[in-house]
Amino acid sequence: MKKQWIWLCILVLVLNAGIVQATPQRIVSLAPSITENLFALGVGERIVGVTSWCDYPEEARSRTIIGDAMNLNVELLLSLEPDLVVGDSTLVHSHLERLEELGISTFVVGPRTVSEVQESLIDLGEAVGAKEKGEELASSMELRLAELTGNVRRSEKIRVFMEVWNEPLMTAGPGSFMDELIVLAGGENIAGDAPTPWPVFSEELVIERDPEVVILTSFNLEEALGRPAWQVTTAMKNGDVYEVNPDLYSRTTPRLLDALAELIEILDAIGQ
Amino acid sequence: MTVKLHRIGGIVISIVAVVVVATALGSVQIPLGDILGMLVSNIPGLKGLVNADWPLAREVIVLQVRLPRVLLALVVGGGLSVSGVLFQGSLRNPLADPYIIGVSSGASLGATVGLLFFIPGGLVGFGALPVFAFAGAMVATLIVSRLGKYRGRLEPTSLILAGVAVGAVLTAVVSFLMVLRIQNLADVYLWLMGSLSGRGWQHLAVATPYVLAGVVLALWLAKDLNVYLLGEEAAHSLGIDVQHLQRWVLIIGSLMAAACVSVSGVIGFVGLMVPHALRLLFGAEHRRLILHSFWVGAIFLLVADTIARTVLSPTELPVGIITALVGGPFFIYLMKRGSGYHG
Repeated sequence: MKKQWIWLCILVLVLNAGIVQATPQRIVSLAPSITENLFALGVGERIVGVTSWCDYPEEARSRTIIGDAMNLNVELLLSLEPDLVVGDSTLVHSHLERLEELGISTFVVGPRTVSEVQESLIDLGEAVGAKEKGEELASSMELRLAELTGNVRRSEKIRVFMEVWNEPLMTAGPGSFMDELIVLAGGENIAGDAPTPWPVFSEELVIERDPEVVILTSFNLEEALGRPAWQVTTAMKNGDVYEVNPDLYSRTTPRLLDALAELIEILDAIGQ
Repeated sequence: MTVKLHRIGGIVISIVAVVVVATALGSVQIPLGDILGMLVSNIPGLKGLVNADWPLAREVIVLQVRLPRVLLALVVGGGLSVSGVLFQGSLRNPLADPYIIGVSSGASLGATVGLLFFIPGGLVGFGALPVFAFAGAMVATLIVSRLGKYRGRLEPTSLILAGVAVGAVLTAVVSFLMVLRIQNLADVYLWLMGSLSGRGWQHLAVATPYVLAGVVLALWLAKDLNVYLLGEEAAHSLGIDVQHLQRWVLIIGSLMAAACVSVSGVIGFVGLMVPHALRLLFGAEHRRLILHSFWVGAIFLLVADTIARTVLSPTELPVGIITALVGGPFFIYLMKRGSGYHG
């Protein structure tokens, strides 16, 4: 009888060891947002491969680059011997399937709203053995979000044009983070009726709808200020054209709330 | 048969040599000895000969990533070249290539529809992508060959014009779909660029039967194509059913091109230039032209793809840049060296 207990103990130990082993130790990230979130989850030192776009935090740049948003160097990735590859479902999908075929375990995230970012932090945390940190990040996002939006006391909605790209003129429509941020900041997206999240938008409509703020995310302030037809808009007349850091506004990380804070500040300055 | 046995032996040996060298090159440096060991140990019965002391990841890199890609480059390069010979021969137009009657735009539409509406949603996996592309290619070819009939007969000029028109319409539909559906666009772009990157054994299994069967059938039609070269009248008087010949050549050429496009996307230049270059070197006799086009096209695309994936490692270049950049000047040299070009 005693012997059986000993065997049972050994069995439990072995199984536990198996579970501990299952925590990924060599992670490859296929998107800048994933890299950021992994560092935020405190498992940055376990990242062995990143994309050429992964520039935050600074330490991410020291990892082996295995591709960019589109192309993936599969053999370089395999040579890193990863035990988990994390990809974003809104980027290239076929890579992930190919990696699964090659026997690599993959984990897919693809948040499309701020609350989904919180969920994905919990899920990702669980996948890399940092569940508590993930929950902590999600709840601190929740708190900060409530605090930021709670302080918005403007009664008038401010008309915002978010310029994603200048040629062609692209903006953020419904279903994009930028649209959600505008709404959370108490603004009105003048492209809020666009059919897709990242539509090419009519210049005529921008002028017709007269934005009070223009937000530029492609570092083109000088060019934008020089557009003759745009001079009639309220934003141009009052000088409310701002260049922002696109990474904050488009990456699905806790830093999205830095973008929200900045946007609220911009709109508050106008609302007064 | 003008190709002698020892020549065929030489061709086979040179293909094997190029395959081994291409498999040995890549972003990850792996000793040639290990690579040969991996290849040998996977031949049934020879496993005991090799002491497998390399890391497993390396074996996956060589056997699951590099080798299928290398072999696929051979099959696609050879397939596109022979398909080019068939189209140029049957349409008697020097600008004809495997894509001239809508195969590429049809495949693009098929792949785009698959990627935007079916694949990442989970209805079917990416393994189904070649099926979508192939189906699109065949539908487009069918439409074009219907439109290309003039008074009930296939007529080269009508075929080519119908191909251009249908191609333009289908390409516009692809662009329209891409504007409408923004999700999964990255996958579509990647496919449309044309590449051998990330292809595995299953792609090879899709394309190889069509290409090999196509080469055999093309050789079988070679004699008739030679006669057709003399003109439609001459072919008639020698008892060749020109309509019958054209129909078969188009079917075989389209199937080969569709199989290649469905696994690799649209890779240009190979199917147009390789047949012309070989015509300049060896003359227009079709049996020789088809055989030589197959192996030269195969090695050409393999060399181009190997350059594409190694020259700027870890970044990969689109293979189309290399095929045009390396092949173009060589073709111009051939053209100018000879006493002029007579299609």
